[in-house]
Amino acid sequence: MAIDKSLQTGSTGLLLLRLLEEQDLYGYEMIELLAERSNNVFSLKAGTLYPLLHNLERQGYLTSYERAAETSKVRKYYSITPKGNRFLREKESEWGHFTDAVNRVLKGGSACVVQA
Amino acid sequence: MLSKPETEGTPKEFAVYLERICGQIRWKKAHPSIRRELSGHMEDQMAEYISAGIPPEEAARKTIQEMGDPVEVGTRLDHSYRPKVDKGLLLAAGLLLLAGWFLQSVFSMPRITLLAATVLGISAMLAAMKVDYTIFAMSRRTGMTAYFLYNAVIFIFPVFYRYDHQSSYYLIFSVAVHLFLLFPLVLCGVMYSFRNQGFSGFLLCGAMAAFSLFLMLMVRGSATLVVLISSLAVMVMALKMEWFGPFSKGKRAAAYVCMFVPLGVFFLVLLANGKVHRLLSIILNPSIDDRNRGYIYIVFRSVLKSSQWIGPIDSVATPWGNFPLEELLRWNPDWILIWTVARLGWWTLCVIVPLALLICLKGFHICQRQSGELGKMISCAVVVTLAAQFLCFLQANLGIVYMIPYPFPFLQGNRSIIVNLLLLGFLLSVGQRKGLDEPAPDKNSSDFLYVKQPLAFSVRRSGQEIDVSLKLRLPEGKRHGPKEKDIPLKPD
Repeated sequence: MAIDKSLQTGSTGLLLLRLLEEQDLYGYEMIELLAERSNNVFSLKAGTLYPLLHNLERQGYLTSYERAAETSKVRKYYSITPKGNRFLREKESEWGHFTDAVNRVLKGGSACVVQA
Repeated sequence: MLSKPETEGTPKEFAVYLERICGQIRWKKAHPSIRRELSGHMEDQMAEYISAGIPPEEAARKTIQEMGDPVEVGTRLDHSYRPKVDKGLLLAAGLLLLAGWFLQSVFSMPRITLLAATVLGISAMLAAMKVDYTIFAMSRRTGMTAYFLYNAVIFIFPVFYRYDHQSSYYLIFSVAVHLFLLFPLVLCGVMYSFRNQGFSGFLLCGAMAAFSLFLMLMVRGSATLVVLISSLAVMVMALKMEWFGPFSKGKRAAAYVCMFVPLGVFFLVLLANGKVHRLLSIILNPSIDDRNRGYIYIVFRSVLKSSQWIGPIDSVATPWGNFPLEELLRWNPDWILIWTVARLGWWTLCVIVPLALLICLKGFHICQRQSGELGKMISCAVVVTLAAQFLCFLQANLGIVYMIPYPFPFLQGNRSIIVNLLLLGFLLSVGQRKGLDEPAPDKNSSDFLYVKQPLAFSVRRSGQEIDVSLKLRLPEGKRHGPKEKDIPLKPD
């Protein structure tokens, strides 16, 4: 199912930080992993991904380093920083409150618990 | 999941596409790294399409389409890479400059030279930001040339000073003394060019630093103290970052011994001569030397004792009667802070000292958050040089230990303003780049080395043991260390 782009806006950074919390990744891996985990709902374009990654790095949420992959091709890997981890926790909590509120409204005011 | 067949070469369209992206990014030094990263991504994407059975030309077209509009992508990347000047740091330095202007107008000092110094200093700061701190990523030849030229300049001035220090050479002497403040940056450049040279590289850099400091000591001891503190800071940092190579614990301890033991011996010699003992005695009881340094201590302490929180004091009572305050600046304009406290009140210190503290904290923050090692070194050199000047000036003006200090950075002293704004420019250039100009560190570099072809392979037998060594051509850029290296191999 295609998702309205406006729903993704602002949450892409959160998704990337969540992926990087598990392991260091390079850009192409992130796109593939994101598509795989979301059953192809999130198909991020490289033109969106890299400016976002570079921005997160400038803000100190990520660091990067170059490493030769198995194919001996040198790739730029991204790694989450402690500051990025704290930011992720905050954003996860915000997202939980937001989706909870949206679900409450959609369900006509009945209680709905959403995991943060 | 992610092992993709590699494409044979990069299509020409990719280069055109990447060129259009880079065309939107104003910071040109970021281009190679962005081009490399995006090119790698496009190659992966194209390989994926080809493995799905799409012909190469169609795969290249689809890859570019998948990447998005180059102007839009480039513009967004340009936003990420826009240099961000540390406004807090700039504001604190600007406020100190304004405070200097205020003091000059209050005390009716000549302002035309201050105006010229401020204009020149701001130009120097902007030039340093434009040139960028990566200028100190020197090759061996450039590093050594910079070192010898620098020493030639500071060696010539002491000779002039010795023979004619009362004449117009004072101007040249004063310029030389302020040039000392640039030494820690030169030392960073020299040490950068000696990276991976082992313990001998460290010793050579240390000897060169000691020689320059000795020349400075011939001119002015208090100035040398500031440079010594910042030089030690950058050398300790170079050892911590393993610039000379990974040292064992023993070698690292030996390096610290080489740095600090000669200093200890120097102070012990002073102590043995009784100079330190006499200095301490005068500090504790200035009246034992009431014709020289002791007199100054007595005057300073009397002025500070009489000063009020707000407002001027009318007179300063000393053992010799009332002291005329105007005498202070006639002795030396560097006593401006104590004079300010006397004429305006202690509140002036409560404005000036926090601004100096803010500059130091901001500088340390820039240093601490750097991922690039050269940026870390340069910011450390600048911030320790500034902090040492602040401290020496404050303690001298508070009558703790007598010395002729450097003027308070950014507040006074025309030559001081120019040199310190230049230093600030380099600090700001580090802050706005955050190490992105430097090659990204490779986490695996210490574990694996890919060698295309060894230059020589030698086996040497000594008794029961066999030494095996390999001569390699190292895959380093033109600015990085030696091209060849002998590596001993362990039998296992």
